[in-house]
Amino acid sequence: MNRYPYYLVLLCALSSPVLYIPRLLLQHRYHGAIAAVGLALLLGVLLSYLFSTSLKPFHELSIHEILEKHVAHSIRFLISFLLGLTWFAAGASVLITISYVIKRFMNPTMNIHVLIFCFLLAGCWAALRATMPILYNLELWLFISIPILLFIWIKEIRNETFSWDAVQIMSDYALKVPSWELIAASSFLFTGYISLLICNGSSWVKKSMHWIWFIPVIGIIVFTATFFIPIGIHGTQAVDKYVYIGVNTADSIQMKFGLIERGVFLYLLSYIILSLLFIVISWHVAMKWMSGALNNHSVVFKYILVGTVSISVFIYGYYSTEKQVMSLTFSWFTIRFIAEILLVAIMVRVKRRLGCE
Amino acid sequence: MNKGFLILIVIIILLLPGCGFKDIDKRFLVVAIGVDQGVEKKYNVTLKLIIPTTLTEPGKSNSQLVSMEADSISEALELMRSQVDKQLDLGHAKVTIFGKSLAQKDITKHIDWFIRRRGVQRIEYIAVAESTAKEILSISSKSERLAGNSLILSFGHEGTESSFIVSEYLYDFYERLLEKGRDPFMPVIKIKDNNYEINQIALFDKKKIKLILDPNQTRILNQLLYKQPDFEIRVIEEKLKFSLSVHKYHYRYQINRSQQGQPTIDFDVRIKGTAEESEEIFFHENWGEIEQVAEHFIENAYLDLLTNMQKMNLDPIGFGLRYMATRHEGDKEWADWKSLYPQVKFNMKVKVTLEGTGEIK
Repeated sequence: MNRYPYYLVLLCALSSPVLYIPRLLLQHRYHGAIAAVGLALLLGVLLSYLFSTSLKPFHELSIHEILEKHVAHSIRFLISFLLGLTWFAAGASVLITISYVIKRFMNPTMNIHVLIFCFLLAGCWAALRATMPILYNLELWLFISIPILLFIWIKEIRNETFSWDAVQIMSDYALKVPSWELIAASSFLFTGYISLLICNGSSWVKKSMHWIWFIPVIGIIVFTATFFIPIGIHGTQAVDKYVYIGVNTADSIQMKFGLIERGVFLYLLSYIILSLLFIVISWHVAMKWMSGALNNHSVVFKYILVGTVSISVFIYGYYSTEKQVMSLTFSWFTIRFIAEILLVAIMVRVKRRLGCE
Repeated sequence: MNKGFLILIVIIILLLPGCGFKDIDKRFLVVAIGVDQGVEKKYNVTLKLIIPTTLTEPGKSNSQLVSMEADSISEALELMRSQVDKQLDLGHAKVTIFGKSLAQKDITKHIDWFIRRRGVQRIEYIAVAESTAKEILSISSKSERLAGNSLILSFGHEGTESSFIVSEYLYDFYERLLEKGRDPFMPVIKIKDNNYEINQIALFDKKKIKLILDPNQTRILNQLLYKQPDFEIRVIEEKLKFSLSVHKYHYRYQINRSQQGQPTIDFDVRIKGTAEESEEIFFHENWGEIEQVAEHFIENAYLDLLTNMQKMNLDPIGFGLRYMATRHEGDKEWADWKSLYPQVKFNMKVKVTLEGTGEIK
């Protein structure tokens, strides 16, 4: 039971390429991307520590009930509504992104709207299930896709044309001052899981603080794999030119004696699995936050909520272009960061009040 | 629940056929693409198409060549689609050949289609033809099982593992085209007696061919680029002529910038090998002398190649990249290197270890 927070951390970290984080960081590689990740790491560890300690006094209560008891009604409504909207937006962004990627790399004559519709159906149905089956699924699919991703990363590093010199050049730019958007975007790697803990919140809080080490380690590994490997393979100048950097880097692997020669198909396989998982979990979590906000936990309400979201996502997917999705995702990062800090601040205040009383 | 589930499955199965999938006998697999300078228009694009046969015996490879002139590569492909009866499938195109006249002008314009278009493999091999790509694509060697396979086997080092053949992938070429410290290159394919002869390399600056190396220098550059052992060195000095077959090869280099200003690049090369062919080696002779002769010769050969490339301001090995990686000055490192490279002095230290004299003494 105690291992599910680990899976949520892994999911958030591994879903970063689908949310364009590597592309954003590579665009700003000369303007403080590495420093942004360093700062985000420190912030992430701090926020996780504060959040875990603030949940300690409460046993067997979910986050909703804690908020209901100890926080003013309006604040609770605000934070839950904000987090609900944030996670709905996350799932929607990933859905549209992955549809574009599939359309481009598998069958360009596909009708994008049919693809979005199929993903919507699958995502909605799965998000309406109970929490534990979704988490069991997460565990299973993570065990399948992580070895595939590790294989791809190791094969990319052992490529003959991988240039360690290009990676070393980046060390010159490690200490530039980053902008706030960069820090907010990279903090997703380290703190994304916090608001996902709505599923049975405090019953998962560990007794010891040792599990916090897991978060920065995974975040750093995923960051180095998605930031430095493309620089090593494509050089410091050409990384900026690719629209989908992760897929094109995987395409540079040639498995001469393998079943499939081009590595891009393995990469797409794992990322489609991970994106679907992310959509399902983020919508499930968003529904829980929204039901908590409006205090209506019935099943009909969930159906209506999911239905509204699907229709709006479909309309958005109909009228938007890749560029719009990208820029909206970037602004989403800042909003999510602020919402997360607010949540942690509220929880810390709750604990302080309890401690004083 | 069960009934509803069954109805759902039936509906899904009914919706399954009708996707955009064409059977294999309605596709033409393109195995190689050749781009030449057109006579009337800008490009002359040639495609080598495989005709699938039931038996794959050596020499029975069947292929068809289609070519078309147009002002852009995508337009040429569109026009060619009207010339063939099946759908052109670019997913198998493993080799791209550029005509020499195109590569001697600006190649960044011609390579754009290959990088930009989805579906073109990033891991395809690219090369320059000695004359025109169409000529190279139209011959098929006698022992080929599948059309275009001999080029793929040669470049992929799956068939022959020659130290003269330098293979270059498309993504690596594009990287070197844009990268600040490394220069691009492509192998050169010639035709000799209805066979391919690939033993030269063409070095580019960021736009066009600047230098084509002769076979010996190509071999040395291959060693420097990929550090693969199992090649031969023919040592020719007045006292001694022999061939050394190298089993172990390793080198390191450092860029040193002394205070006097002239930078030096110090190479430290270690070679271990056995003699393969000689006129004058004896088992009981002093091997130290033989090794010294070999070292002297190899040092001269390497220095020759490196100074040649330096004179033309070409840098395929990546000295500029290494300079920028080991200095910590930020953006002005590249400007510094551009002025430093013509003045660099190369220092070679080669250590040859003769492991044996072969089967006879």
